[in-house]
Amino acid sequence: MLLSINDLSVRFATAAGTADAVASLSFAIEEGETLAIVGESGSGKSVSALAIMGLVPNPPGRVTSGQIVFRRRNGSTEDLLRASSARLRDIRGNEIAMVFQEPLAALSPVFTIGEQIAESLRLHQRKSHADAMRMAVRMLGSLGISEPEMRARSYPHQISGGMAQRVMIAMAMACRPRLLIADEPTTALDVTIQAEILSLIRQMKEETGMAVLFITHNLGVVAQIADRVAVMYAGRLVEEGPTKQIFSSPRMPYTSGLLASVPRLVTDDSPLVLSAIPGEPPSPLAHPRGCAFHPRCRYAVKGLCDTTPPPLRDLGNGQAARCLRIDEIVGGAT
Amino acid sequence: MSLTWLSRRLLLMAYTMLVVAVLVFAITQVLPADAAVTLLGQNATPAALLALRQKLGLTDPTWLQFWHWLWSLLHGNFGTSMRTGLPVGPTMFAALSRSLLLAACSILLMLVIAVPLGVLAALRRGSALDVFASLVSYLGISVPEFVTATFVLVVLADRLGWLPATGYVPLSQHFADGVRHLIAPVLTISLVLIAHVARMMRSETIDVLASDYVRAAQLKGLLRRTVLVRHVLRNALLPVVTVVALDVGYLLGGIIVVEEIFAIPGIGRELLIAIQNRDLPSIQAGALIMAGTYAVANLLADIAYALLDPRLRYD
Repeated sequence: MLLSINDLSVRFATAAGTADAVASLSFAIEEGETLAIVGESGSGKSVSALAIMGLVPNPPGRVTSGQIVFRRRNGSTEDLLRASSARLRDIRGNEIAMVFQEPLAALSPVFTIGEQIAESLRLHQRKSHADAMRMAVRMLGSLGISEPEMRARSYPHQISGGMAQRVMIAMAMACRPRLLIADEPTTALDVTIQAEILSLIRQMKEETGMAVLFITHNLGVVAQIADRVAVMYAGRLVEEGPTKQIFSSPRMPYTSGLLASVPRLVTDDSPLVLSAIPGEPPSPLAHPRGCAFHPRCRYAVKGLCDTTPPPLRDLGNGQAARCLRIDEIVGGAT
Repeated sequence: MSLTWLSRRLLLMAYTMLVVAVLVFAITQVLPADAAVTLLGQNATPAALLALRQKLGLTDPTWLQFWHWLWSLLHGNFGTSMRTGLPVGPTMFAALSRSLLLAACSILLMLVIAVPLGVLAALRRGSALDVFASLVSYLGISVPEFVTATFVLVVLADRLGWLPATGYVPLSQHFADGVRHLIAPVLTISLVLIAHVARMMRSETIDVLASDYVRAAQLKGLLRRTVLVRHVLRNALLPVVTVVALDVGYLLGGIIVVEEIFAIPGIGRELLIAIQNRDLPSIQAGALIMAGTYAVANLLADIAYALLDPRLRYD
């Protein structure tokens, strides 16, 4: 086990009240595994990632309970929520790294790309400026960037979004982390660039054996990259399992709804059917009682789903789902 | 920043100065001041006045007068003061050097106080320090400098007796005394500057702190201090350069009032005396030098900006 999150809760205090952004979330990532966390905006997936990095903005956010246990390179384990800031700094950028959705915004406008990649090498591997810059150039080259020497001397405003995401990956990969957290890394990019970035992440994974926590709302991306999928809704994990299984037999109606809302190619004998999940994701300020998904669920039953919060049930085959009517809705409801 | 950019920028400055020269000349032309009357007094005979006017070139067509004036300006000759009979240039530049000392001290004090104050206020939003910084800012922005100056005089010089009330002692003559004479005017001028810059610094820091690149810097495992200095401060300072450059404009106006109150023989006071005495060459020189100072300050700000922000390294 590389990382295991137990009973994590994150609460935000806003002017309109407290919002449970993440509610007793538990999941684990094995060494070398790619886990995709899927969910709509506001489902708590990005906040979970920030909690792992210890960067939940405080105020207004606060981790109210839980453990985030990370196994370090030297074999020791560390609860990231309780580790000293010196330990956290030692892990950040070194053993756990992160890439964001808006790569251009994640690069400081006043430093060259090379300097920004070299920064963590100088910090964690105590490289000299010249050595770190040489390594940064090599890194850019290995990520398929042409003329890496020239690029290393460029400033962020001189490069495209796709190039910036490669630079972000180079920055994240500089110290060969054991876990890469990718928060919607392809969402802001063109479709063709998206594919390139995904294969780049796969390539890095093969080269270094790192694990990837891939946060996305794009199921197409999940199918391409993830070993396992965790679906989040209203701050909770609602379904989890191996990617193939989740795609072929989802057991939670929300997962089924997500899968059904992915557009598919139209052929003569199967016209395009694009179904959307009715309604909107609930406000984190007021999660519905009972099952948080019940107001949008076509299987919801009065007197049951709106009163009893469903437990996450282990289905035995590596899959787990949170639905009270799981036994009645058999075989991947759509 | 390329040489072409710099030369284009210098050319633009020269053009600006030419326009300023035309304006200054035009304004002094319409002033109800007759140089001959100023020089010879009210009781001079018309014949003597005419002779002097011809000698001074005042009977020439206006464009020719302008040309003569501009030509001597380009040769560093600002004319002769009608009040003292001394060359205007050296007097004005000596006065300018005293004003620049005052301005430089004020800007320095401002940077030392306003930048940390703004950053700390941003880091501890809603704290007592933040409230205090806001209070100082509102005071500085809303209270005119003649009120601040009077207040500083009454408290520091009169009630507490810590400082000399007015006057100017060159630092080269008596350093400690010179510094003591500078404190009150510098405090007065820097309050407004501190107000502007602390506010700017606070809001910029808040914006930069929320940016993805600061988060990315934290995620590299950098020390909080390193993140603050290298990434937050460096980016938050950029717009402050512009504010400081714009404030030079304010300084030039404010300095007239402050120099008058504290009896400092700077360019502002010299200009005021020139106007009171209808000393045309001094007025022209004073106005031109002030405009020139502003233009140079803007150029320096542009260069500083280009050095600090790679996005503005115009090619």
